[in-house]
Amino acid sequence: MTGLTAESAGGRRGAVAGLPPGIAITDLRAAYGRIEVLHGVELLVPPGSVYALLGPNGAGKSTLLKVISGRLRATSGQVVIGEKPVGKASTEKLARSGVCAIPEGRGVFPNLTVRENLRIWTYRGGMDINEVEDTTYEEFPRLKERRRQMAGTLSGGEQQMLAISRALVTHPKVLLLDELSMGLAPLIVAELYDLVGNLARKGMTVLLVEQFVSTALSVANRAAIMVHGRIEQEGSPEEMAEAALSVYLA
Amino acid sequence: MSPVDAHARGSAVLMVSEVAVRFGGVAALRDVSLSVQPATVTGLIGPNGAGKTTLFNVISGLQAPDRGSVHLFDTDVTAMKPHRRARLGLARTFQRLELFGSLTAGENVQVGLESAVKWWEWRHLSRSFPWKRRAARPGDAAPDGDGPSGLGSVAAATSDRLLDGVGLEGLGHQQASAMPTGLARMVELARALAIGPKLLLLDEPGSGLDEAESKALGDLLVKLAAGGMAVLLVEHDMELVMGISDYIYVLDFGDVIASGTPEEIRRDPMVQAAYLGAMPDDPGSEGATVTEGIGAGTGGSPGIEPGGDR
Amino acid sequence: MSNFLQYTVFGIMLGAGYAIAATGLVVTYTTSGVFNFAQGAVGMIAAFSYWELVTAHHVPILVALVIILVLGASIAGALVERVLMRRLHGASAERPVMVTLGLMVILTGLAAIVWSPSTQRTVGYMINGQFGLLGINIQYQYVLIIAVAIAVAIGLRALFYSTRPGYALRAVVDDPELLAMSGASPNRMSQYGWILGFVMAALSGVLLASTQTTGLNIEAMTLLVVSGYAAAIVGRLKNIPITFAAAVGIGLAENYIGNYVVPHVPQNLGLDITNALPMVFLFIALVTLPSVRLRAVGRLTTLRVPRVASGWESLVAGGVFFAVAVTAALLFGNTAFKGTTLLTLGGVVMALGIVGLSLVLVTGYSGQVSLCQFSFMGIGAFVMGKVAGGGSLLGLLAATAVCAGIGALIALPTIRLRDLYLALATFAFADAVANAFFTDPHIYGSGGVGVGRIVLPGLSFGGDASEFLMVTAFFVLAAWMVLAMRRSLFGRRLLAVNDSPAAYATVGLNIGFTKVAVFAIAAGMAGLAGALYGTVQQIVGTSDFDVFPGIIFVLFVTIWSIRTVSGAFLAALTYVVLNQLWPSGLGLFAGIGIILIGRAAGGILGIEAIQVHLPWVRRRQTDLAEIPTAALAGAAIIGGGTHVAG
Repeated sequence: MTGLTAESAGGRRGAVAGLPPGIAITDLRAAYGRIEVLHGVELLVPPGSVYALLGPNGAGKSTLLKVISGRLRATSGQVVIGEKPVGKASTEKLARSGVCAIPEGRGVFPNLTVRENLRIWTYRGGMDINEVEDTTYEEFPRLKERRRQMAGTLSGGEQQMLAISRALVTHPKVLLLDELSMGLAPLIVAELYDLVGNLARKGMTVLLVEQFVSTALSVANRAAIMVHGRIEQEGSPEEMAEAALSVYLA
Repeated sequence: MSPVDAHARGSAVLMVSEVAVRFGGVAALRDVSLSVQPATVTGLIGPNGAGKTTLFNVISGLQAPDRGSVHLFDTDVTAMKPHRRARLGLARTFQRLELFGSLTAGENVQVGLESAVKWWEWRHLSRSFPWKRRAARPGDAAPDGDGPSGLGSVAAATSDRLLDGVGLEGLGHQQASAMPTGLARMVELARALAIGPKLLLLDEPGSGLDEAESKALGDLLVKLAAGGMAVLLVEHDMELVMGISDYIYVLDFGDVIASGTPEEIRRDPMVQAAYLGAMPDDPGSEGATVTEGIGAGTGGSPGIEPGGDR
Repeated sequence: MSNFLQYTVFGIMLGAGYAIAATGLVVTYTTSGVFNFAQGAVGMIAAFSYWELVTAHHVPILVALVIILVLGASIAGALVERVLMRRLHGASAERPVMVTLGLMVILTGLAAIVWSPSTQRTVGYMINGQFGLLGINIQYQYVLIIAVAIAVAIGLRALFYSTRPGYALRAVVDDPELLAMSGASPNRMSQYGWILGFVMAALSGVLLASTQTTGLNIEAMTLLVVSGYAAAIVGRLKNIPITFAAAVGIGLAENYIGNYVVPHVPQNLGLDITNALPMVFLFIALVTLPSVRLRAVGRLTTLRVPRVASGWESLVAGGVFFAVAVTAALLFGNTAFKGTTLLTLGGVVMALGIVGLSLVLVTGYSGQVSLCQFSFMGIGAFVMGKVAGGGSLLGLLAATAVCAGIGALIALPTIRLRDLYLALATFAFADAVANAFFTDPHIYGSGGVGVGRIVLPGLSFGGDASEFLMVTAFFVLAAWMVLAMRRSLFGRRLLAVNDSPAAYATVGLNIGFTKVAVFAIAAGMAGLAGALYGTVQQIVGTSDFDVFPGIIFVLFVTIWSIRTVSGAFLAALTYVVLNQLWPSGLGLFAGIGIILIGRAAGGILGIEAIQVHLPWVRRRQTDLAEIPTAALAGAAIIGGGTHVAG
């Protein structure tokens, strides 16, 4: 238990000007049908931090991200992003208000070309498509060669680059990453997390779920371990590295 | 490194030879080969997205491989339908549960138990008459005392024994869709056991279980193997896998990157890198750099099928 | 040669009309996942509205088109998505099918009230005149239809491939959740999909109205797009260019076959081939579809399952039911209502009740939607009338067997596909049987088929009372049989194959065999019901087994509860009573009822508040949260030999 409540989230109200919002979660419960998966999650993600959420499969990490991004409705409890309680806002509303969630697997539309995917990322907001493309290709030059190709025909690494470029071009306030590294070679994972680190330094709040403890902790500046639908421990990456070892490998 | 050679062939209950599966531009399995011996527990580990579930789908017939072959009990089953493979003696569970939600836990197991019964046979049909023998009602805790002459009541009794065996005593009458994940996993396991398999594929049976439960699950699997069953186990709980497996395969990016006894696997640095992931500045990670992504990215057009489905 | 050209032009024109409706269907399906069975009815309403405005009230054509397409169809499409469809997210798979069918019967019901079928209505060409080309005369109207279809195709292409909403419409097909995460609303996209679908349906209705030279007919206009369904299936419900091409091909084929083949078919062979063509095309399309891959979907069913009566309970209940029927027969022996004796009506209720039971089996338990149970009834009645001169027990057996066989044949090509395709196949079959078989004077006779009543040695069911009791006895028997099946391992398999096909296959059970078997059994039951219906009515007419009554009946069963025997009986009762009181309102009742029931899977009988709990039934509920799974620690030894061999 973190022992932190939404009240101590500090700087939620009257946040220091320019600081991005953090995420405060209180007593959150969520269920699939009649089966409860989150049993009262308490979590505080400080503004501008990279927060890693660790834990065994089936612990409820992805479910938690789903609730924060509005894809699953909580049965009780509260999620506050910045000053605003998320409440019953729809996924698309949250997305427009600056919550960028990149789902597990490949967060791209396989039957749209790379360019069309990029145009979808900026469906609202009137961003200039050329600017969006330039920014993306500057970061991932390989996508430029493939801009007319269907996203489903890209390699796994390229698909994930395209997926994360959404965070790059839409300037969200909060970034939720679910298993960014899934099925990807370490070099590519490193490249992707480099970008995540850069985005965080620009002020984005990042909450990431990651199966590779060391990978996650190398980019995170705060971490928690989730087991059985609850936050079990919370602390600095160093503290969590030790704790995670006992949870994962025992 | 050829795992199949390393691990004796011949009497293998399962032989997977050079199986490859691609989804769009992403290779899920690349020339995977492995074999499973009778009366052993074989572990299959690897990070999420390594292709373990895809491999299970290929073995059980839910996914046709692009290349390669699958032999079950010395029969080539590569083109065989899933239900025929099951009749050969293959049972599986699913990572995301696949229960018969509108049936009770007991009925779920019964469907497995009775899978070889032909429903149109008169000796079965005639049991529907109430005066014949009380038909097994969903979730009856015990058959009637006056002798198990009806198939239904034998099945019900056996189903209860199976449920007891996986720790679900007295829960036979619960509707399966209302059961929490941990219990539901055990119902799935009981249903898989109910078809009397010679080879059991378990996809993360331990997730959602606590320490004591997963210890008990391990004991159960060891006992099953001792009784002659072959178990192929996908599991993230390393303590469980390392503790009970006779042999382990490690899958990463759709490749078997290592195989051996639990001790050998534990010592293998590539496995450590693959499983724990590498810090971006960790020199050890170079050893684990497998040919993903970058290679495909420069190799011209990786497009398999132009996604023309619209 | 000039004939050939003439047929070709007409075929392309007709195909172009189908193509507009079919691509609209595909757009709606891909963006919202719902196959709109009301597509034809929307076109029908548009055609009648066009007649009303242009022909009856002399509104300028362009104004009429704006009213119908821009105001009418698009707003209706948006409303249907928002009010009817959106709340069905997460409902059982057959429910959206039922709701669009409900919409269809509401629209046809309303049309019948507004535009009395007794009036002849013809719609003139939008552009009059013709021109000569290669020795044939081509109507400007044909050119217009073809041109509009091409414009629609180009417009859709441009929309989907070069506008941002178009990308989003394609994206929602790939992954609605990801689209939401990108800030666009998937619901909005489905709404656009419905609007496009409705507008295109209306457009095709308005354009094709002028080709109905014998006047607009509600049923014919509504069923005109069944050919479009076949085209949509050739395009696998997602590929618009292929759908478009297939529609044109079907239009051509219909004309060539209609003009070159049909005249050479001997008249006394019966079967109006032209009317059966849409079904033939649909079946060809279904056979060419690739099998769907079995997928593990994760479990979703959280439906509360109705309690199943035990063997003794159902036996006692059946006895009581029969006793009540005997009492009723004694009391109302000679009471008549609107020229029919109450006992005859009662017999019809019981026969329909058996059809309802067949739906419980096939749709309620195994989740497959069948829209042609009335067709099986008709075939059953026909067989009953023809075998051994009618009125024999042999006829009952033959009716059951023939229908079971036909049922298996219909189910076979669709079992490897998704359940929606079975619904489509049964819809097409119902259409073909109603319009090619039942209406054919050579087969069904212009005055109907005499069935007669069953006469057994020493027993006659000639009187209304004994006839009523005989059919009642069959109903009770069928109900008891359905419940016995539900309790048996077959019943467990039906529910199981519906819940998780992937798991069903991996425990060693044959999905296809089970589905075909249950469909055949249900078809046989409907055939038996039809034979009994024939003995009640003694003579059955050509319009007794139409497409729409059959669909309306399915809806009534769903409204009451398609998972229970009582639901089947109450649906039959409701249907017969309403049919006596206000036959033209039947569709309205059914449609509005299914909309009101919405996603409640159990229907009216599934509503918790009205359920009666039998005092001797223990309600076994364990609070699962209280049970420690650590009971596992006591895991017993499970050796081999647990398998119960067959």
